[in-house]
Amino acid sequence: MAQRAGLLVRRGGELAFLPASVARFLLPLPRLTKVPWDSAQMALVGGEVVAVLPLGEPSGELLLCELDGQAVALSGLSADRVGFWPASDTGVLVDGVRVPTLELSEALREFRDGRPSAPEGAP
Amino acid sequence: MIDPGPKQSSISAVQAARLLAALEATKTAAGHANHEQREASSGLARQRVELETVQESVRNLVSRGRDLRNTLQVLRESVDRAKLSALNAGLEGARLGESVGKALVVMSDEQRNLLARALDALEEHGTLLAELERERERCVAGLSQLGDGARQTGAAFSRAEQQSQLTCAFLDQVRSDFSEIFGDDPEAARALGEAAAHVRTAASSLRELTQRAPLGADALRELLSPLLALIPGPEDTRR
Repeated sequence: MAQRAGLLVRRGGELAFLPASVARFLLPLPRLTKVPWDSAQMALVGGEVVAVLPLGEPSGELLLCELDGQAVALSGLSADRVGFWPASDTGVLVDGVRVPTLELSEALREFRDGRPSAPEGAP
Repeated sequence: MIDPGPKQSSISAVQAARLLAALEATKTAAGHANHEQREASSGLARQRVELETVQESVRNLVSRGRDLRNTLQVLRESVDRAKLSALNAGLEGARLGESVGKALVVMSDEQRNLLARALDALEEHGTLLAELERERERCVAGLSQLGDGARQTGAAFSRAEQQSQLTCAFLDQVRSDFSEIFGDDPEAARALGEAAAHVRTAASSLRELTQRAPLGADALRELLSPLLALIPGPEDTRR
Protein backbone atom coordinates (compact mmCIF):
# COMPACT_ATOMS: atom_id res chain seq x y z
CA MET A 1 0.00 0.00 0.00
CA ALA A 2 1.31 3.46 -0.93
CA GLN A 3 2.54 5.68 1.84
CA ARG A 4 1.54 9.30 2.16
CA ALA A 5 3.69 11.83 3.98
CA GLY A 6 2.05 14.65 5.80
CA LEU A 7 0.80 16.31 8.93
CA LEU A 8 -2.03 15.24 11.21
CA VAL A 9 -3.98 18.16 12.65
CA ARG A 10 -6.90 18.44 15.01
CA ARG A 11 -9.84 20.53 13.98
CA GLY A 12 -12.48 20.76 16.68
CA GLY A 13 -11.22 17.52 18.21
CA GLU A 14 -11.30 15.60 14.95
CA LEU A 15 -8.11 14.41 13.26
CA ALA A 16 -7.46 15.46 9.68
CA PHE A 17 -4.59 14.87 7.30
CA LEU A 18 -2.67 17.45 5.30
CA PRO A 19 -0.17 16.22 2.69
CA ALA A 20 3.43 17.37 3.14
CA SER A 21 3.20 18.98 -0.26
CA VAL A 22 0.53 21.35 1.09
CA ALA A 23 1.63 21.92 4.69
CA ARG A 24 4.79 24.03 4.68
CA PHE A 25 5.52 24.98 8.26
CA LEU A 26 4.02 25.85 11.59
CA LEU A 27 4.50 29.02 13.59
CA PRO A 28 3.05 30.60 16.72
CA LEU A 29 -0.08 32.54 15.93
CA PRO A 30 0.97 36.08 14.98
CA ARG A 31 -1.21 39.15 15.22
CA LEU A 32 -4.03 38.89 12.71
CA THR A 33 -5.34 41.96 10.93
CA LYS A 34 -8.84 42.24 9.53
CA VAL A 35 -9.16 43.66 6.06
CA PRO A 36 -11.42 46.75 6.16
CA TRP A 37 -14.97 46.10 4.82
CA ASP A 38 -14.15 42.41 4.50
CA SER A 39 -14.28 39.34 6.71
CA ALA A 40 -10.82 38.27 5.56
CA GLN A 41 -7.87 38.26 7.94
CA MET A 42 -4.25 38.78 7.05
CA ALA A 43 -1.00 38.02 8.83
CA LEU A 44 2.59 39.02 8.30
CA VAL A 45 4.67 35.83 7.98
CA GLY A 46 8.34 36.03 7.19
CA GLY A 47 7.93 39.53 5.83
CA GLU A 48 5.08 38.55 3.50
CA VAL A 49 1.40 39.22 3.88
CA VAL A 50 -0.68 36.06 3.67
CA ALA A 51 -4.42 35.47 3.86
CA VAL A 52 -5.58 33.54 6.92
CA LEU A 53 -8.41 31.02 6.67
CA PRO A 54 -10.06 30.56 10.04
CA LEU A 55 -11.00 26.88 10.41
CA GLY A 56 -11.90 26.93 14.09
CA GLU A 57 -11.27 28.57 17.41
CA PRO A 58 -7.79 30.12 17.68
CA SER A 59 -5.31 27.47 18.87
CA GLY A 60 -2.18 29.56 19.19
CA GLU A 61 -0.72 28.06 16.01
CA LEU A 62 -0.73 29.08 12.40
CA LEU A 63 -0.10 26.59 9.63
CA LEU A 64 1.36 28.00 6.48
CA CYS A 65 0.30 26.06 3.41
CA GLU A 66 0.86 26.25 -0.30
CA LEU A 67 -2.23 25.85 -2.46
CA ASP A 68 -1.87 26.06 -6.22
CA GLY A 69 1.41 27.92 -5.78
CA GLN A 70 -0.12 30.47 -3.42
CA ALA A 71 0.70 30.84 0.26
CA VAL A 72 -2.31 30.54 2.54
CA ALA A 73 -2.28 30.35 6.30
CA LEU A 74 -4.72 28.25 8.32
CA SER A 75 -5.75 29.11 11.86
CA GLY A 76 -7.90 27.15 14.30
CA LEU A 77 -5.93 23.94 13.81
CA SER A 78 -3.74 22.13 16.31
CA ALA A 79 -0.81 20.20 14.83
CA ASP A 80 -0.61 16.65 16.17
CA ARG A 81 2.23 14.80 14.43
CA VAL A 82 4.14 14.28 11.22
CA GLY A 83 4.75 10.95 9.55
CA PHE A 84 4.21 8.47 6.76
CA TRP A 85 0.92 6.58 6.76
CA PRO A 86 -0.77 4.14 4.41
CA ALA A 87 -3.04 5.90 1.96
CA SER A 88 -6.78 5.33 2.14
CA ASP A 89 -9.50 6.33 -0.29
CA THR A 90 -10.21 9.58 1.59
CA GLY A 91 -6.91 10.22 3.32
CA VAL A 92 -4.64 7.99 5.37
CA LEU A 93 -4.90 5.10 7.80
CA VAL A 94 -3.49 5.99 11.21
CA ASP A 95 -3.26 2.95 13.50
CA GLY A 96 -6.01 1.36 11.46
CA VAL A 97 -8.29 4.38 11.68
CA ARG A 98 -9.28 6.34 8.58
CA VAL A 99 -8.26 9.96 8.83
CA PRO A 100 -9.69 12.11 6.04
CA THR A 101 -7.69 14.70 4.16
CA LEU A 102 -8.50 18.21 5.26
CA GLU A 103 -10.71 19.69 2.59
CA LEU A 104 -9.40 23.15 1.85
CA SER A 105 -11.16 23.90 -1.42
CA GLU A 106 -14.48 24.28 0.43
CA ALA A 107 -12.89 26.54 3.03
CA LEU A 108 -11.28 28.58 0.27
CA ARG A 109 -14.58 28.97 -1.55
CA GLU A 110 -16.30 30.09 1.70
CA PHE A 111 -13.44 32.46 2.28
CA ARG A 112 -13.82 33.99 -1.17
CA ASP A 113 -17.63 34.07 -1.15
CA GLY A 114 -18.12 34.97 2.46
CA ARG A 115 -17.28 38.64 2.07
CA PRO A 116 -20.05 40.89 3.33
CA SER A 117 -21.29 43.47 0.91
CA ALA A 118 -19.21 46.60 1.04
CA PRO A 119 -20.91 49.60 2.71
CA GLU A 120 -21.76 52.70 0.72
CA GLY A 121 -18.78 54.91 0.11
CA ALA A 122 -16.37 52.01 0.46
CA PRO A 123 -13.67 51.89 -2.17
CA MET B 1 -21.11 55.41 102.26
CA ILE B 2 -21.05 52.49 104.70
CA ASP B 3 -22.90 53.04 107.94
CA PRO B 4 -20.14 53.12 110.60
CA GLY B 5 -22.40 51.90 113.44
CA PRO B 6 -21.37 52.21 117.10
CA LYS B 7 -17.64 52.95 117.45
CA GLN B 8 -15.27 50.41 119.12
CA SER B 9 -18.02 47.80 119.44
CA SER B 10 -17.46 44.04 119.33
CA ILE B 11 -18.96 44.12 115.82
CA SER B 12 -16.27 46.57 114.78
CA ALA B 13 -13.56 44.24 116.04
CA VAL B 14 -15.08 41.39 114.06
CA GLN B 15 -15.21 43.59 111.04
CA ALA B 16 -11.57 44.55 111.52
CA ALA B 17 -10.58 40.89 111.70
CA ARG B 18 -12.56 40.18 108.57
CA LEU B 19 -10.93 43.14 106.88
CA LEU B 20 -7.44 41.87 107.66
CA ALA B 21 -8.28 38.36 106.50
CA ALA B 22 -9.89 39.66 103.33
CA LEU B 23 -6.98 41.91 102.52
CA GLU B 24 -4.56 39.03 103.04
CA ALA B 25 -6.63 36.97 100.66
CA THR B 26 -6.69 39.91 98.28
CA LYS B 27 -2.92 40.18 98.35
CA THR B 28 -2.51 36.44 97.72
CA ALA B 29 -5.02 36.52 94.88
CA ALA B 30 -3.31 39.56 93.38
CA GLY B 31 0.00 37.69 93.49
CA HIS B 32 -1.51 34.72 91.68
CA ALA B 33 -3.19 36.98 89.19
CA ASN B 34 0.06 38.79 88.53
CA HIS B 35 1.83 35.51 87.90
CA GLU B 36 -0.86 34.39 85.48
CA GLN B 37 -0.78 37.79 83.89
CA ARG B 38 2.95 37.57 83.29
CA GLU B 39 2.49 34.16 81.70
CA ALA B 40 -0.31 35.46 79.49
CA SER B 41 1.64 38.55 78.56
CA SER B 42 4.63 36.46 77.59
CA GLY B 43 2.41 34.17 75.52
CA LEU B 44 0.82 37.15 73.82
CA ALA B 45 4.23 38.52 72.88
CA ARG B 46 5.21 35.17 71.38
CA GLN B 47 1.96 35.07 69.40
CA ARG B 48 2.61 38.54 68.03
CA VAL B 49 6.05 37.47 66.82
CA GLU B 50 4.55 34.35 65.24
CA LEU B 51 1.84 36.41 63.59
CA GLU B 52 4.38 38.79 62.10
CA THR B 53 6.41 35.84 60.82
CA VAL B 54 3.35 34.28 59.21
CA GLN B 55 2.35 37.58 57.63
CA GLU B 56 5.84 37.97 56.20
CA SER B 57 5.71 34.40 54.86
CA VAL B 58 2.38 35.06 53.18
CA ARG B 59 3.78 38.20 51.56
CA ASN B 60 6.72 36.14 50.27
CA LEU B 61 4.34 33.44 49.04
CA VAL B 62 2.38 35.97 47.01
CA SER B 63 5.54 37.33 45.43
CA ARG B 64 7.06 33.92 44.74
CA GLY B 65 3.79 32.59 43.38
CA ARG B 66 3.73 35.45 40.88
CA ASP B 67 7.34 34.70 39.87
CA LEU B 68 6.56 31.00 39.51
CA ARG B 69 3.53 31.70 37.36
CA ASN B 70 5.56 33.98 35.09
CA THR B 71 8.33 31.39 34.80
CA LEU B 72 5.79 28.69 34.09
CA GLN B 73 4.29 30.77 31.30
CA VAL B 74 7.72 31.31 29.73
CA LEU B 75 8.44 27.58 29.96
CA ARG B 76 5.10 26.70 28.40
CA GLU B 77 5.66 29.08 25.50
CA SER B 78 9.19 27.75 25.00
CA VAL B 79 8.03 24.13 24.95
CA ASP B 80 5.19 25.05 22.58
CA ARG B 81 7.68 26.66 20.19
CA ALA B 82 10.06 23.72 20.50
CA LYS B 83 7.15 21.42 19.64
CA LEU B 84 6.40 23.48 16.53
CA SER B 85 10.11 23.33 15.59
CA ALA B 86 10.06 19.55 15.95
CA LEU B 87 6.96 19.33 13.76
CA ASN B 88 8.56 21.62 11.16
CA ALA B 89 11.64 19.40 11.08
CA GLY B 90 9.35 16.43 10.59
CA LEU B 91 7.56 18.23 7.75
CA GLU B 92 10.93 18.82 6.06
CA GLY B 93 11.69 15.11 6.42
CA ALA B 94 8.26 14.18 5.07
CA ARG B 95 8.82 16.34 1.99
CA LEU B 96 12.19 14.64 1.39
CA GLY B 97 10.39 11.31 1.08
CA GLU B 98 10.34 8.15 3.14
CA SER B 99 13.72 6.83 1.98
CA VAL B 100 15.62 10.03 2.81
CA GLY B 101 13.50 11.82 5.35
CA LYS B 102 12.25 8.93 7.48
CA ALA B 103 15.02 9.36 10.08
CA LEU B 104 14.23 13.06 10.40
CA VAL B 105 10.54 12.34 10.82
CA VAL B 106 11.23 9.68 13.48
CA MET B 107 13.57 12.00 15.36
CA SER B 108 11.09 14.86 15.24
CA ASP B 109 8.32 12.56 16.45
CA GLU B 110 10.46 11.43 19.38
CA GLN B 111 11.23 15.03 20.20
CA ARG B 112 7.54 15.91 19.95
CA ASN B 113 6.71 13.09 22.40
CA LEU B 114 9.26 14.34 24.90
CA LEU B 115 7.98 17.88 24.58
CA ALA B 116 4.42 16.66 25.06
CA ARG B 117 5.51 15.05 28.34
CA ALA B 118 7.17 18.31 29.31
CA LEU B 119 3.94 20.15 28.57
CA ASP B 120 1.99 17.68 30.71
CA ALA B 121 4.46 18.22 33.55
CA LEU B 122 4.08 21.97 33.19
CA GLU B 123 0.32 21.63 33.32
CA GLU B 124 0.70 19.63 36.51
CA HIS B 125 2.93 22.36 37.90
CA GLY B 126 0.26 24.88 37.03
CA THR B 127 -2.32 22.82 38.92
CA LEU B 128 -0.03 22.54 41.94
CA LEU B 129 0.58 26.25 41.83
CA ALA B 130 -3.15 26.89 41.78
CA GLU B 131 -3.51 24.65 44.86
CA LEU B 132 -0.73 26.59 46.56
CA GLU B 133 -2.55 29.81 45.82
CA ARG B 134 -5.72 28.39 47.36
CA GLU B 135 -3.67 27.46 50.46
CA ARG B 136 -2.35 30.98 50.52
CA GLU B 137 -5.90 32.34 50.41
CA ARG B 138 -6.70 30.17 53.43
CA CYS B 139 -3.61 31.58 55.18
CA VAL B 140 -4.81 35.10 54.46
CA ALA B 141 -8.22 34.24 55.92
CA GLY B 142 -6.53 32.76 59.01
CA LEU B 143 -4.45 35.87 59.47
CA SER B 144 -7.56 37.97 59.21
CA GLN B 145 -9.14 35.91 62.00
CA LEU B 146 -6.02 36.38 64.10
CA GLY B 147 -6.31 40.11 63.56
CA ASP B 148 -9.92 39.97 64.75
CA GLY B 149 -8.76 38.06 67.82
CA ALA B 150 -6.17 40.75 68.53
CA ARG B 151 -8.86 43.41 68.32
CA GLN B 152 -11.05 41.46 70.75
CA THR B 153 -8.08 41.12 73.11
CA GLY B 154 -7.64 44.87 72.99
CA ALA B 155 -11.30 45.34 73.89
CA ALA B 156 -10.86 42.91 76.81
CA PHE B 157 -7.90 44.99 78.00
CA SER B 158 -10.07 48.05 77.97
CA ARG B 159 -12.81 46.34 79.98
CA ALA B 160 -10.26 45.06 82.49
CA GLU B 161 -8.92 48.58 82.91
CA GLN B 162 -12.40 49.84 83.73
CA GLN B 163 -12.85 47.07 86.29
CA SER B 164 -9.53 47.98 87.84
CA GLN B 165 -10.61 51.57 88.23
CA LEU B 166 -13.87 50.49 89.84
CA THR B 167 -11.98 48.21 92.24
CA CYS B 168 -9.60 50.98 93.22
CA ALA B 169 -12.52 53.30 93.89
CA PHE B 170 -14.18 50.63 96.00
CA LEU B 171 -11.00 50.04 98.01
CA ASP B 172 -10.68 53.80 98.63
CA GLN B 173 -14.25 53.82 99.88
CA VAL B 174 -13.55 50.91 102.23
CA ARG B 175 -10.52 52.65 103.62
CA SER B 176 -12.45 55.87 104.20
CA ASP B 177 -15.31 54.08 105.92
CA PHE B 178 -13.03 52.19 108.24
CA SER B 179 -11.17 55.34 109.14
CA GLU B 180 -14.43 56.73 110.38
CA ILE B 181 -15.22 53.52 112.28
CA PHE B 182 -11.86 52.92 113.96
CA GLY B 183 -10.51 56.46 114.15
CA ASP B 184 -10.13 56.52 118.03
CA ASP B 185 -9.04 52.94 118.60
CA PRO B 186 -5.20 52.53 118.61
CA GLU B 187 -5.39 48.79 117.95
CA ALA B 188 -7.86 49.28 115.16
CA ALA B 189 -5.74 52.11 113.76
CA ARG B 190 -2.76 49.79 113.62
CA ALA B 191 -4.87 47.14 111.89
CA LEU B 192 -6.21 49.81 109.55
CA GLY B 193 -2.69 50.93 108.70
CA GLU B 194 -1.70 47.38 107.79
CA ALA B 195 -4.91 46.96 105.86
CA ALA B 196 -4.32 50.19 103.97
CA ALA B 197 -0.85 49.00 102.98
CA HIS B 198 -2.36 45.78 101.69
CA VAL B 199 -5.02 47.74 99.87
CA ARG B 200 -2.40 49.91 98.15
CA THR B 201 -0.45 46.80 97.13
CA ALA B 202 -3.60 45.16 95.85
CA ALA B 203 -4.65 48.26 93.92
CA SER B 204 -1.21 48.57 92.37
CA SER B 205 -1.24 44.90 91.40
CA LEU B 206 -4.71 45.24 89.94
CA ARG B 207 -3.69 48.23 87.84
CA GLU B 208 -0.67 46.40 86.52
CA LEU B 209 -2.78 43.33 85.92
CA THR B 210 -5.46 45.09 83.90
CA GLN B 211 -2.89 46.91 81.82
CA ARG B 212 -1.46 43.63 80.61
CA ALA B 213 -4.07 41.05 79.78
CA PRO B 214 -7.75 40.20 79.79
CA LEU B 215 -7.04 37.33 82.15
CA GLY B 216 -7.01 40.05 84.81
CA ALA B 217 -10.77 40.16 84.59
CA ASP B 218 -11.00 36.73 86.19
CA ALA B 219 -8.51 37.75 88.83
CA LEU B 220 -10.57 40.86 89.53
CA ARG B 221 -13.60 38.77 90.17
CA GLU B 222 -11.53 36.69 92.58
CA LEU B 223 -10.38 39.87 94.29
CA LEU B 224 -13.77 41.44 94.49
CA SER B 225 -15.54 38.58 96.21
CA PRO B 226 -13.64 38.86 99.54
CA LEU B 227 -13.75 42.62 99.38
CA LEU B 228 -17.49 42.61 98.94
CA ALA B 229 -17.71 40.54 102.07
CA LEU B 230 -16.23 43.48 103.96
CA ILE B 231 -19.27 45.62 103.53
CA PRO B 232 -21.31 45.27 106.71
CA GLY B 233 -24.83 44.01 106.12
CA PRO B 234 -27.89 45.39 107.89
CA GLU B 235 -27.67 42.74 110.61
CA ASP B 236 -24.05 43.63 111.40
CA THR B 237 -24.79 47.32 111.81
CA ARG B 238 -27.75 46.64 114.08
CA ARG B 239 -25.75 44.41 116.44
